[in-house]
Amino acid sequence: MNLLARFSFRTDGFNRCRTFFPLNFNEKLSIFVLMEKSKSNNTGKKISNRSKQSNPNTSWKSKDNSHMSMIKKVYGADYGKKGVEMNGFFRENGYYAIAEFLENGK
Amino acid sequence: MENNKLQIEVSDLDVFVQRFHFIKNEILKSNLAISMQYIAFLVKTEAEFETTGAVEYSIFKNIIQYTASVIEGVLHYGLEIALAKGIVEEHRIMPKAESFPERKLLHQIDKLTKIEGVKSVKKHEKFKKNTQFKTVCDAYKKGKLIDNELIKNINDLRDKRNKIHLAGLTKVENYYTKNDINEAFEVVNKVIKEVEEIVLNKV
Repeated sequence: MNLLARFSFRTDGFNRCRTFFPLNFNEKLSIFVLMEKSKSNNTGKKISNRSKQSNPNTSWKSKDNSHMSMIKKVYGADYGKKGVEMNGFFRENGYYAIAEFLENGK
Repeated sequence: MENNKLQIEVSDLDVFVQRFHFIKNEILKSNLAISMQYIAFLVKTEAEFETTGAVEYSIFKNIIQYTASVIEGVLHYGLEIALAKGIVEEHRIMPKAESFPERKLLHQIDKLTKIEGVKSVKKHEKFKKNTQFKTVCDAYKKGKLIDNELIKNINDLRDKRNKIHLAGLTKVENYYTKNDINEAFEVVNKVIKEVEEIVLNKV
């Protein structure tokens, strides 16, 4: 365990006692680091320019917020067809959990 | 000219959008519906066409990957809402990361070796749009937003999804079946229910 060391030394004509933290690298080399109290409560500089946390309901919102218009803009049209019921198909073919997924949405 | 190409019929996107009615983010909702429609397309392809061997397996794998992405999207949204509502606090649920904003040379031993002093600061990660799926799962666990059994199932599915990284595989894959699809969708259904609860009811 590293113990703090207190040294007295003379600076500008006065005896000053400061606290040092020893960094022991090997038997021959130790470096004592002067410990200074921070003058502010800041814990450090901001590390990066990360974006602010986004608002959950607006962060990805486009100007036109209708999902169908967005899809049409990107893909031209919806591949799926209106009126095609798939619950029965999923059940008949053993995909019961997908059928439940659709039924829960109704 | 008449188009004679075969077409796999699936429901329109509105059908799939309905299941994500609790999501107010329209882009996310649309993308989830697009993924669900594609899953329906794959299921119908598997069921109506003669698909065997590696192709059948690959369809199942593709479904698993898309299903995991749907879960990830829903969980991410749920966590965003839970944070916005104050149900959980970011610094309690996000992982701590150590950063070194300042460093100073203390002693130069030789040209290649030096001793530096660093200022080490421990901070929690910020929750962001690109927060990893695993971090989101861990945040749900830390915040006790969903039960541990469901977290375990989600993590299992996440592992399966990660088999998209072919270089990391140690054998030729052949281990996805129809049963895996049902298990994955059981997880989807539970996750949606839990997130729906967070978004619509929890204060």
